[in-house]
Amino acid sequence: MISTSRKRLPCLALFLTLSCGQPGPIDPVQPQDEASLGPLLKVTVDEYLTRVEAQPASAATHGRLGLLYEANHLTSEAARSYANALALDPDDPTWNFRLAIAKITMGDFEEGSARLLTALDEMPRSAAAHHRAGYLYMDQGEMERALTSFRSAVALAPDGAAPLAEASLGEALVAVDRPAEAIEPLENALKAAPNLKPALYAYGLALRALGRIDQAEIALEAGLGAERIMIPHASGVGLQELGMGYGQRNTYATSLSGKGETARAIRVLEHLLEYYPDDEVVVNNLAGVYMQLEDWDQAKLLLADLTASGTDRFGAWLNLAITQKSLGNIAEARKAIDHAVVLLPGQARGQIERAEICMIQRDAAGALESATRVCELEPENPRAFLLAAEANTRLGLDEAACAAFEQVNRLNASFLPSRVSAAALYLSAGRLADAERLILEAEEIDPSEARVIQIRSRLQQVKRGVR
Amino acid sequence: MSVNQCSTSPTPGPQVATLLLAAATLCACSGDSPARDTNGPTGHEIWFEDVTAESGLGFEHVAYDEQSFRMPECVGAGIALIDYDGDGDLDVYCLQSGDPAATGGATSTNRLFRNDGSGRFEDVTEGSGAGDRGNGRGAAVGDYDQDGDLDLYVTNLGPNALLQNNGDGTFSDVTTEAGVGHPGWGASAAFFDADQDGDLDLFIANYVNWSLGAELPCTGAGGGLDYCNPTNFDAPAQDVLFMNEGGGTFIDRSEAAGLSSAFGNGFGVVVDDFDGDGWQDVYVANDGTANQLWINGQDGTFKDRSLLSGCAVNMNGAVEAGMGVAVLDLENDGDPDLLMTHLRSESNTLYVNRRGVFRDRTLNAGLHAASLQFTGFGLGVADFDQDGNLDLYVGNGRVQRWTMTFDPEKPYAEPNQLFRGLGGAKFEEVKPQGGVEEAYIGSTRGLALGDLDGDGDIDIVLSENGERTRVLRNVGAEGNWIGFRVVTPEGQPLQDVIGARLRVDFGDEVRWRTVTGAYGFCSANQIHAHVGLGEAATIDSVTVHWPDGGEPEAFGPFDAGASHLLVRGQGGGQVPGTQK
Repeated sequence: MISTSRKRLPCLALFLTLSCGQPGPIDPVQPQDEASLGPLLKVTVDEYLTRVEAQPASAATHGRLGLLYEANHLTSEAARSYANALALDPDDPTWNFRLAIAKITMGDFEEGSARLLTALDEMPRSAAAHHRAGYLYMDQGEMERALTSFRSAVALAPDGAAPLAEASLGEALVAVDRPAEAIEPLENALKAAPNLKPALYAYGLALRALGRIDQAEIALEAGLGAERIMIPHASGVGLQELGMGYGQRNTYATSLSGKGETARAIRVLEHLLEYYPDDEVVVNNLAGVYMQLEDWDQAKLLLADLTASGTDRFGAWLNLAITQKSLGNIAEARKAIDHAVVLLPGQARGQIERAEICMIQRDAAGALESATRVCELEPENPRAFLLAAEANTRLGLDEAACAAFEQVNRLNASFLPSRVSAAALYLSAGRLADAERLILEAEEIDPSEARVIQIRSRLQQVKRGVR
Repeated sequence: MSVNQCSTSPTPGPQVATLLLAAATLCACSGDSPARDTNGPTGHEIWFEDVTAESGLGFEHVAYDEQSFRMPECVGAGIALIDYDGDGDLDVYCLQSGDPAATGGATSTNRLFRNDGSGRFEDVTEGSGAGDRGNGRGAAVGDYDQDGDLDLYVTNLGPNALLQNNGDGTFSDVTTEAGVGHPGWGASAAFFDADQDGDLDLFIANYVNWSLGAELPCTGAGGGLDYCNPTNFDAPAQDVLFMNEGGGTFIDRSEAAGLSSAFGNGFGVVVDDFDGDGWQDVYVANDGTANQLWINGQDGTFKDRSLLSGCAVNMNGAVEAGMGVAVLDLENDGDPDLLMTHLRSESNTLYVNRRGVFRDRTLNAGLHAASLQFTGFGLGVADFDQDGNLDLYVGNGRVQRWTMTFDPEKPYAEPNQLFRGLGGAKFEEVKPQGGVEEAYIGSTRGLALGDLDGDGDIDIVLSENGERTRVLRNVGAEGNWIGFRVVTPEGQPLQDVIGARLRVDFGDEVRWRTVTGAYGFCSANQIHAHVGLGEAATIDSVTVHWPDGGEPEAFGPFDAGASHLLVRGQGGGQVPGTQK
């Protein structure tokens, strides 16, 4: 059970204040295991420690140190830093809230929940606090309390965050076997955020419980891979930027470039290289950003150096292949991709790239070899079968080409070229019924497409000739 | 396991069909177990005693020669319980991994330990043929060649191995002849009858398409070097179905079965009839990718129904890091439920089955919060205290460092956990943690359940990553128990009928068990069924539902406190729910 003694913490704070007088300067929380910190994080931690040492009575500096620790999963240190900030400024509800999060993350549900309830008292209109409380209750199995908290979050959430709150409410209602009630908040969430995976998955479960199986399957599929998303609180904005671990910086740079903030991504990666000089992953990621900018020359410079150093990093060789291909250096692209697929023959992306490069070189046999491998690795990937079909066509292996086109058709109900190409091959082989079938499908997709009309016309001619 | 728990010279063979036991003898045996120690603070319960030192099971698992943060170093291995010599007690097969960078296999081999019947073991590897040199990960046990003794399938990081039991205390490596030497990173495996033709086929969960050259520098909390997770590689490996062709050979039917349509980073495998149609289905727990529920199409094909059935991902739609998986019937309704272990910050997850539709009931079960702080691997579900409710033992151990440690010298170590079943789908954690006097802080990976000392209750053997294998003797069983060995008809070599589903009726109570050793993490457990009966001293009947769809047979009544042989064709009682 979660503690509901809301009065405990303010009394404790009062006692401490009375016994200690005004809060005095507090030493910063040192990292428990300094030796395990990565170099960039160590430098950053030192910087933040210096700031706290310069202003040891400032709640804000202790709090910011806590945020740095939290962002880097040094949760114990984060908790103690937040506790220091709270001791220095008990009136700022931020630190209680962050301390609650840290305690919950550490598994101290009793203190975490007590602090979260205190934070809720201090920030009664905080949707983020109610939302967190909802999940805290849910994780403890206290479902009615969870529902109450989520309803509060729905009522208080600003527009941008409302779908998250509605999705959580729906999820909780499904969890307590009230799927009919869950539909409304979930549909509200999806109306505002149609791709919100948690809402989609919960919606799928609700639909399934209500017997709407076909719709359920679609929603469940769309919601696969959902992650619990918390309503952001102002205090946590910028947390991702504070992640200074090697992996975190790379991930942060990737997310920046994913959002189109490529200049920032480059700065992050170049800064990371100062601490991890010539690091293969960082260099490769940096090259990836230049590729995204279509600055192929810069990408090639980085990747050529990297691969010349003898790296066995599949990603680097793949990127080099793509870059060389974009620069029109097909022979060099081929060398790079051949190296990549030797490193990781079971990686579909590499084989797809190799198939495409081989096709450019008119090496249909090579293309077929790679395309076949992709078909084995990703049997639901239509691109793989399309490549195989094209390669087979170039090699004159019409029957195999048709089989591959049929797979493309199976996987993509509205793809025209594969239907047209297969129809043409069937027609050449005298398989009129198959050709007819596919041209009908093609006509349903786009009856005005030139090749469709052409093949229909030829089919009719052949049929007349047969008669 | 011998029908006679206390016999000093059990005699296998068709004659065993006749029950040999005297109730008095059994009562003396079952009375030897000390009662659970409930002294000390309320809730201080000792269920197990660590008897590693005196067990003779002196096996040290090697994860690496020098820690290099290559992923295989942190995954560890399973463990197998197998009565390889047919003397009625459980022997232990320990899997040795070794450094993943070492070519030519591990510097030491897998080891076979023979049980003297009392839970003391002797290393009999030399000359046994069981000392496979691969980078050992998992094992499956089954009589694939139907000659009356149990064989071993070993999964490796590299080509797997099939060790055929020669029936004389030795094994022969018949991998090549059998055609089952699948390369790649094998994890859990299970023998089962996929096509109802009476022989055992083989399912293997494969983990990641990994190579030394594919390794990546990953970091953990604090930015220091740490182990990658499988999604970093984005190279899941397809699972494999080998169909037994008879004559000691198998054929790879993975493609034809449809297994290429869905796969992930496979770790755990369980087999049961999840949709109640009388055919064996397969559930694969994947690490960081959606799970698969392969429903048997009854025609050589399988279809992944995990998404619509509700057991692909947890109730939030989140993919979890599936490690070990167990099948259990918590509601005693005949529908097999699923329980899986996951990473820290993901709970262990319970999917309760109602006629093929699963619902994530973790929150209601009391398992969610208690498991969030731990990374669970091996798990075992059994009625350890024999009160009639299934309990749960979870083997924990981290794969990445975290800010809080249980032992500053061992940053990946965690205590294991024991959960007492409360009836229905509810549990509460037993303290002290793990149900032992002093919690061992280690990196448990595979664990196997079975009656090692012949006293009727369920003991545990644990594979610790990079450490000595441990043995926990059950000292907390207070209730009555009954056991069943389900075998082929008289006149055939004595084989366990893997996949048989047992319904045990006693008073108003019903319990279901499936004859299988394949559950947990890369491990093989005691095949025979064990049921805790609480205070019941007899059972009214046990009904066997055969995996090949044959007419169910009812046996009994039986007295508690013994293991009984159920021979196909010799049942004669009324099947519950039917009219004679």
